Amino acid sequence: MKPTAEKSTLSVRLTHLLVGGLLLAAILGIFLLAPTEATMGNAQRILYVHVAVAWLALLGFIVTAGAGLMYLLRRDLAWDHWSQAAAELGWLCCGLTLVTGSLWAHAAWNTWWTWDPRLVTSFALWAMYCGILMVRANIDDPHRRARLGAVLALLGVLDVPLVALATRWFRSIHPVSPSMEPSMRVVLLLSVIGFSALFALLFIRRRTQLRLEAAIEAIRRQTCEESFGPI
Amino acid sequence: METFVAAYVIVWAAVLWYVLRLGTNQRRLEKEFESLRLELQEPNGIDEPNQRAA
Repeated sequence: MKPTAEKSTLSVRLTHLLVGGLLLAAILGIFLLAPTEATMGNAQRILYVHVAVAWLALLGFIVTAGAGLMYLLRRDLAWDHWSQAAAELGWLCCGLTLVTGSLWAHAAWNTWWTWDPRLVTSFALWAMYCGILMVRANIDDPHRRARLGAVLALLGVLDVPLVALATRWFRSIHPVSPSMEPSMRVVLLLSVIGFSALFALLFIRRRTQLRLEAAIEAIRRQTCEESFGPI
Repeated sequence: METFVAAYVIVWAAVLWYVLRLGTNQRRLEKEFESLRLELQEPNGIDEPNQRAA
């Protein structure tokens, strides 16, 4: 093996170890370090994962829209690969935000769903993620797919400040930065960092796959055109 | 307690599903890449003995 390849394998292994370590620290913190909350009991521990995935759902949409905007400016499909990878992971995190939030709501408010502004705007964000991914899945031409995906993401990103500030702008029963013990804050921070690292790792992996997929497609197209003329 | 356990099981099951999906996709891409490489090498493989004979 060449020294550069060895170095890159080592750096990949170290990155995996780092992400695994951060997640393990977060899990141990959630189970062992964080105290049990007086009113909600163990159900309150959902917060540590709910906040982490909610933050990543918002970040995912900002990255989807940002990379989409860069595609529209540069017309370079590499930006579209970033956009698609962020949309897929953001969709997953947004779905998990809704599910964990619903479980929390059942424990705290005795209902699975309520038409609260924060919940409704979060659901709208998830629906927009679904829309972007469905449109992308049904268009073959890569530039047309990238263009439409970018436009939809730029429209949808307007919902991000609404989700973030819904509890301040509208009357809402969703908690707004509740007071916490210092150890709870540490665990929450650990969880957010751990999940963010996992998101970054999966995001880079997926982007690499999309780039390889596009390269294979381009070679196939070129070979076909060389053999049978323009498609 | 059940609510809390359910939330964690769902989150980790979703993460695992995504990682497995990535892995399956990676294997498919590697196979596709390999078959494409062989396809592109094929004419050379046929030509080589002819060239040697010439």
